[in-house]
Amino acid sequence: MKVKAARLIADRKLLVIIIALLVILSVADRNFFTLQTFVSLFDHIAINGVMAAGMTILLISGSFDLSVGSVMAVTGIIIVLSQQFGMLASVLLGVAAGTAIGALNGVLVVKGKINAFIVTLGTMIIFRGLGLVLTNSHPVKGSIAAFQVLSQASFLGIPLPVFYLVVVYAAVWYVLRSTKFGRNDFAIGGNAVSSRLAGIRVDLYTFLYFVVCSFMAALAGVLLTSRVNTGSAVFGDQTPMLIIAAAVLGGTSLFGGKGTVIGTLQGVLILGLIERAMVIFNVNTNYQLLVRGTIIIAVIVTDALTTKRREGAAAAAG
Amino acid sequence: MKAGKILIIVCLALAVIAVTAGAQKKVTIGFSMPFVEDSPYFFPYTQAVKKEAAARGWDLIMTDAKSDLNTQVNQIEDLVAKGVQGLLIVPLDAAGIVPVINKMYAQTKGKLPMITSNVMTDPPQLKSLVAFAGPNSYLEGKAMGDYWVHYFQKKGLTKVNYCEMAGKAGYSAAIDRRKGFQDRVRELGWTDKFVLFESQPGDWNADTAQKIMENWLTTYGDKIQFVYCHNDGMALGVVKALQDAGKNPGDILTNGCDGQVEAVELVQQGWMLFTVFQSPATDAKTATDTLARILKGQKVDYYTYMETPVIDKANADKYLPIVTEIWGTK
Repeated sequence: MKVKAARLIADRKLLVIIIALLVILSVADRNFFTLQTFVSLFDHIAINGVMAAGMTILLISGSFDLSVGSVMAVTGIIIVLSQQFGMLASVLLGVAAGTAIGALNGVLVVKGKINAFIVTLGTMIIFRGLGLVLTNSHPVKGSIAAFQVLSQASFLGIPLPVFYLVVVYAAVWYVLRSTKFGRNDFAIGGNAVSSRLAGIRVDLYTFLYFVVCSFMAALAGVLLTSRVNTGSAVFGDQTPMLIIAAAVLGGTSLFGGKGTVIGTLQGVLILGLIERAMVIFNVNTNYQLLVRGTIIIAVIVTDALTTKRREGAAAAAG
Repeated sequence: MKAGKILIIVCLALAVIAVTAGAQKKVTIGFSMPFVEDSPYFFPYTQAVKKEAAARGWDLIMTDAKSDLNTQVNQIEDLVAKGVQGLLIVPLDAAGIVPVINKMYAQTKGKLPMITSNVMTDPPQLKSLVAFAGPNSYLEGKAMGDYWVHYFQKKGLTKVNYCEMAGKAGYSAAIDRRKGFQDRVRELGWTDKFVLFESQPGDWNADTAQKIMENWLTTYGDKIQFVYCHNDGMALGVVKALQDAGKNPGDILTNGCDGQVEAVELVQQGWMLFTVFQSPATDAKTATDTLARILKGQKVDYYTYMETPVIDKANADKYLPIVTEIWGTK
């Protein structure tokens, strides 16, 4: 009960920030408060959002993945380079390659018993390097016009990426809440040793969470490649930190065992709104980092304080 | 929820300030930058664009994508959503920026004038763009290749070993400066005479370039006859490595591109053979002039190239005060 109540408050805190940002931006820019703006906002956060959903699953299990930006870049490069085999084949190849990086991460962490931070730091560098080798350091340009439709077209006035975002979040929300895959995620993140004693195949599931995280990053790679019709090894350089920040802002614990995908979505949305605010207020983008960091710290500190106070009150009552 | 209430009050106050501040009507111009920090070029460039915009009475909204293409695409869409009347774009990626330019063209039904500056799109000529204004990295590469070939030709050499200190992998200036160099060397029939030992990305960074140069000195030593550098910043690192290794000016020569103060001084001292002067101020002026003429309804050429003169020992004294003025002191 306690945990649930605290989580509810955390959720509402983010909603307050989101509403506050919406109010500020609507007053500051008369062109802002339109359906068009909200739609484009979700369009803009789709790529990071999809990746952050996968990262949330992995973070809940107590692991970590720094290689997602490289996965996104490599996926895009392979899609563009294999477009001669047709659109579907190229997308499948790209996603398979990206997902395979997650499998490698998973094997190294589980079988090699190496810290996830170190493994994914290594694969992050290796696969960015592979991207540079594959492209000979030149960004590669896509040749299939139809592929661009995937993330540039709209349906009923709503850009397609918004639909993907909704589908991904609905799916991850369901999986985390109502499947063994999701329950084991929280159990392993909460306490891997007792999970193992309880008969959960910790290694297998940890491996799968890495695979899923990379799979989502690969999907983000598909969206990005379709959006810019280009594959490049420099794409997604700063993405891992950004999406981990979004997940943490959304209440996911870096130590595992705790997190919601709806919180992550709110985190991504807040970061997206801050980005938009920088344009509307015409302030130097450097302040974006200050604002972003301040909000993250503020939310986490108040989170910690309210949880502690509640626990204190409960202890006093008991 | 007390904290929430306070937040809302603060927000409303900020909003009121924002509204009163932005009340006056001006021409609003969007200015989309790929990155600014860590770039000795883009800092004076953005300063010059701001100055030019202020002189013209424009309300300039600048965005900085911090080297992330997806962010730049978002920012361009946001600028258009904000209702800018002109858009000046420095693409992070030549090909990757094209879809959003086309999308914005369609969205504004071709009514929003958009130009690119400094970095050309790929393909360079787009129906959705009005103009490109800025330097031509390919021609700079050609000028550098030309200078090196003629230098060694005059010396009567027939075989020259060199290393290439390339710009950040994937960046168009690096790609074009390499291609321009190679093409010019081929045109002059020197492809077989120039032996490339190694090409490494020095990431436009002096420290990175210095480390690479130290490795090259260990591997190839004095067999290297020159180092083809894609910009001045890396040339400074190369020279530092040579100085640390106890070399004398002219033992192993290098070149630069940009025309920074330190580089011009190294040209005077004989460490560098030449540099190509790409003035960020001229670049900014070329871009804003072009956009201003478009806004006035004048017809402009699709390509407006800025001048990029070569600075060598013969004219370094003349250029030193000019470059000092433009780059300023750090």
